[in-house]
Amino acid sequence: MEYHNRIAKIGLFAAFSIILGVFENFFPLPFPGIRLGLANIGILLSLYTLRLSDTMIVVLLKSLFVSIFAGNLVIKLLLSLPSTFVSAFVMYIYIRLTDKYTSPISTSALGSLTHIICQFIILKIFVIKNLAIYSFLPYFSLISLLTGIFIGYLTCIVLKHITAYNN
Amino acid sequence: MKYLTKTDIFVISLLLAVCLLPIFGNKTINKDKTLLLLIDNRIYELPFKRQILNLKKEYGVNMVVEIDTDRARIIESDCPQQICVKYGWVEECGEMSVCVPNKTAIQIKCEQRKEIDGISQ
Amino acid sequence: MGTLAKTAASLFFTISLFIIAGCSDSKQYNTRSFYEMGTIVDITLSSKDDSLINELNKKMESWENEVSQFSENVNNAIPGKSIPVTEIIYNLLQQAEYYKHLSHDKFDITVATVSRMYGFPEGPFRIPDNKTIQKKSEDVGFSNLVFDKKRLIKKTDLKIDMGAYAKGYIVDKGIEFLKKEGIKSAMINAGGDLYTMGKKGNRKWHIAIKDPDNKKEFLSIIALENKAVATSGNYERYFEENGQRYTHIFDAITLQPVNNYKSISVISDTAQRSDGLATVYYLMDVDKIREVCKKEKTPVLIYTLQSEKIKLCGWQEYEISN
Repeated sequence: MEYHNRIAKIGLFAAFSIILGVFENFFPLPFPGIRLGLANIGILLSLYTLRLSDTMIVVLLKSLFVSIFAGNLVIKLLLSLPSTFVSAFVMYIYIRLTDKYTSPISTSALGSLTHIICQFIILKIFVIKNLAIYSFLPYFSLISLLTGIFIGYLTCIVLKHITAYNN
Repeated sequence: MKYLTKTDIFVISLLLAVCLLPIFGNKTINKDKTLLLLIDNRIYELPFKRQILNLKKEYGVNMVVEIDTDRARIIESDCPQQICVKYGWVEECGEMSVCVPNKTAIQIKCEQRKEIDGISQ
Repeated sequence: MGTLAKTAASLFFTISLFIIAGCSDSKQYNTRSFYEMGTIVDITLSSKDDSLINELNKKMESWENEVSQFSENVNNAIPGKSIPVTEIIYNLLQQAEYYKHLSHDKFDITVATVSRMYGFPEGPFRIPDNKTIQKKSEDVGFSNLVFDKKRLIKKTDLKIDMGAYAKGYIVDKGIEFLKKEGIKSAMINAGGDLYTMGKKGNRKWHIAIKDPDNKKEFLSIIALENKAVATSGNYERYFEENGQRYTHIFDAITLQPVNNYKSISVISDTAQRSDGLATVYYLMDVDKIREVCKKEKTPVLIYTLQSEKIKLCGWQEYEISN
């Protein structure tokens, strides 16, 4: 039962992430290159309710399918997969360390920041080597911090219903 | 499920400070701006004079850049998401407009002008 | 938990305040300008030492009076008359002898006898005919000055001008005074002959060398600490006639004004040395400068008449990019 429950949740969260990830491509923010990160809700939910290994499956599925649907599979995957993995792992550590005192809001903010920083680093190392990322990264990280807080808030709401349902 | 806690606020303000500090130290005054065209691992300097530059012939990417006296933008690109075109003008120090599929970016580079304490003549 | 968060938050804000405050240093310097020695003298001190500026100004004025009074006494005296010599004057006369020797007699403070005939230093300018110059040539020569620590006698009817390095000497005296008053960081700039004491805040002093051809650019920007720099150029004091430029720098052997370079800048340990050597080097060709600056250990920047920059004896090591 426990096993089936887990598999079901992995599938549910991954599907949730993929749909939101593709969906938000149609609703761009006023800052090109930055998305709200709605797909991150699914990853946050799995971090809070599943094991690390399960979450990584969600991350893999989400990155793969969102990239396929967005076109430019290789480039998208290159930019999104490592950043999402790193950011999920950082969030996992953070939750393990501070879960008693924090809510998904700061977790999501941290993850969002980690994600954008990783993307810039990948961009510099693999795509455009001469890009001076350090001078403009702060502006991007500021915006992603805000989107991260917003996503964290949404996660709080969803999580509240999930725990209520489980109990 | 708890919402915003005090530790949340503390962590977020810490992250905010990490983002803000470099911005404070990055004033545009007293700086010389140059416009860079970055393609893969190549680097070119474009002159700040009003013109519309097609990058196809000289640089081999299917993009058009519009340059103004102190800013520039990508106005055409063959990439699917058009993020670089939607970005608009780049004019602040370090600001960039990136086209990932073409491995191409335009970016403003600023160099701090050294403060001069005295002149020998 | 509540108190922990509060403590952490207050700690964090204190730290960020320090960081923000730390960014805005090196601003608390004041520069004041005076007209002295026929030029603008800028004195830059940290603002807490500001009160010394007036006293320093008075001192520099009195030293300058001492030097110009002496020159005037010598120039107006009839040959054979004894003129009193002070400590400052004696030092300057010894330097004159040193520069004369270094330049193989091209540099000579008594060449003023001829340069005055052209109208230097103040004008109006004219070109004296060769006969008048030849007639006077017998009188010119540092060896016609007999002096010791007390007095000086000129043997011939000559005139002197120590302007080439007296300005630098007075800058050095000013710095010496500031050091005695316990100042660790200051700059005195007498119309381009300057000394930088200590550092400016946490960095060296940034000095630009004027580009006579382009007001927006500099020939070079250097970072100095406890060093002096001075520049001699053909663009400061000169007049032109029949398309020829007559500069205020005279060769004591040919008794003619020389127009060898657009400018020469010299870095050394004292403003007096930089000032004097800039003039001495101006009289030499590039190969000779290369040889002498190695011996004197003074970095040199030559800006030739063809607008070419020649950096010698380690000038590059002081340069910073802009």
